[in-house]
Amino acid sequence: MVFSSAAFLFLFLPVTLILYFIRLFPSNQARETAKKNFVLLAMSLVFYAWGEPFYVLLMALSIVFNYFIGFDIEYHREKPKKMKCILVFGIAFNLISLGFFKYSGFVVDSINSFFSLDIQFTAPGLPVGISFYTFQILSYIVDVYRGTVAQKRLVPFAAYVTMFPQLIAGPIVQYGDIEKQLNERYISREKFAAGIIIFIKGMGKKVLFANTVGAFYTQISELEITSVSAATAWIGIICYTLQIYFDFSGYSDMATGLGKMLGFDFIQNFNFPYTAKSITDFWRRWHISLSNWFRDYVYIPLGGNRVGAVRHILNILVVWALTGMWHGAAWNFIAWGSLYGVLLIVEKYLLKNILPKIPSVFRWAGTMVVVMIGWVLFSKESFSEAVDYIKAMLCLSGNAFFDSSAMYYISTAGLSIVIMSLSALGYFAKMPRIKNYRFNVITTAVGYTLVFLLCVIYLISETYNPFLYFRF
Amino acid sequence: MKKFLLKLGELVCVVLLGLFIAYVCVQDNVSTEPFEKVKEAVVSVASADGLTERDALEIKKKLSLEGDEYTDFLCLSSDSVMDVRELMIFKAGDADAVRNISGKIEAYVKEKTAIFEGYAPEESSMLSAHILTGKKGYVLFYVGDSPEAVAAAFSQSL
Repeated sequence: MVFSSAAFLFLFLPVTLILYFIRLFPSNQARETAKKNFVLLAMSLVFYAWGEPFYVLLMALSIVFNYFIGFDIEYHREKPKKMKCILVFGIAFNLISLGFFKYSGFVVDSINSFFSLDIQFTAPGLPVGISFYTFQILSYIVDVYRGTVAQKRLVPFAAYVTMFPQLIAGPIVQYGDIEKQLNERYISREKFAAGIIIFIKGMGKKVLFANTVGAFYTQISELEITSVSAATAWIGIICYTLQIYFDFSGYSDMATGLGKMLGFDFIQNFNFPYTAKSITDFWRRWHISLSNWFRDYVYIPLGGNRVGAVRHILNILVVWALTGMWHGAAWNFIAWGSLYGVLLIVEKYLLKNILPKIPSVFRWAGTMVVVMIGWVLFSKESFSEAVDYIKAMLCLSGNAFFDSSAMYYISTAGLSIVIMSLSALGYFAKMPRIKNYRFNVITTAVGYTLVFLLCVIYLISETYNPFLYFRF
Repeated sequence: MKKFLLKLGELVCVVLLGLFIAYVCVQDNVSTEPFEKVKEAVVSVASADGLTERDALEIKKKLSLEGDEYTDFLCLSSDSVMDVRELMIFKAGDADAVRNISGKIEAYVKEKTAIFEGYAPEESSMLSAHILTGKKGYVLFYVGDSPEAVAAAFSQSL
């Protein structure tokens, strides 16, 4: 089920909220939280089963297994070696599950292609959200091993894994971040209202912004790439750059808003990434929950930066190749991740003293060009398609720099691109506000109601339009 | 006792994961039967008289399906707007492609049903009795007489 769908907005969400908040008989805070966790778990399973009834079994199996593993690790707290073996066993189970459903087809195809073999294998369907919930589960069992968290009850743990606001496309919530809230949470009217506002903001980003520029990118990417002018290719990738930001950050906002409405505070997943003035800065602002996960569970355990230069470089490359692979089972994703690994190494070792001396506008422009080239690798189905597109952007495919189609897209998409770019760069967020409480309350209420109504009108007239990050 | 139960629980989960993977492998296994054979088997039992064969462009218009989203196809439909009979067979490739195509056909059926509902009851009931099934890398969509026989012929041909 998609957040920006009529079924979610007018059926699933109201029913969930009624069941979640209804008090059938007087109970204390602990019982009330337990009931809320149970409703959350049940409705999250319904949410997942709506589109993936079969793979609910896989998720349930994963939850039960990792619940046992958490218990087992805790049970052997006094025996470090035994504890480590159980952790490795747990990690292996999760990685085998993720590996089979996400990477088996890619591995077999790669073997066939490298060794000129013809192994017949049909890749299984990808269970929606498997990368997200597997990473959450892994963070849980590692944290239990580290002794920082422990959950003795199955329902709160299962509610954590399946929590529908962030189940399908994140943000990746680490167990430690919401452990207290799972056991005890208070939902004030202010928090609930803030949740609604964040949710509508996210829906607006997705429906009004991402879908609009996405349509232009789709048109441009359907053109024969060898005949596309460089200007058109750049307009196309600018549209995609805006689309993926508003799509994914919109989803994250919707998840955060829903979380708040249910009493949870998720971490901020985006912080105006397109204002970054270096690649390091970009990755501190883009998909923050994923960067944190790789930092906490891969980079630091590998030694982080507290090792020699060669080992440090290797650590960065490993982390970024894995980041690329996490996004998808294809060589262009690995190339995309590795590209960032190399760029971060260059920034850390070669440009460390040079970058601060460059005027910030040039640093920003350079970062954005690199990010957009990265999005080409990310958006294309294959590596060769991405290379062809980059050639067109750089006028290397014998194409013209400017043509009538570029003019057409400037006249049709230009205004949208300018408004959305200003929004992505945080200009609207930085605008001064009138210091009048009543005025602010009224304008916020009217403004967000209008955004909501506009989104609903768009949704009714549009066909199914999933989020880009659903495929991960 | 607790230790034993924990180990037993973990073991059961591992076995269940193995069985789940094995089931998915069998279920998602793509048929090696040639497209032509599947096509012949289905067309021979379907009520396809008077239906016209459509090309990839028509598929794109109807379902928003690009050519690279399937490997082979057959689309038969009527020239008359009041004739809802239709037959589509797609060779999809893998389980994800089967789901993708099936999803788009579902949306198409929903749209078409809304057009005929409350206005053309016979066509509407024929549409609601449609067959949409995805098996072994193939997708079958059929609106017409004897849908069960067509579905059976499709399954047997794979």
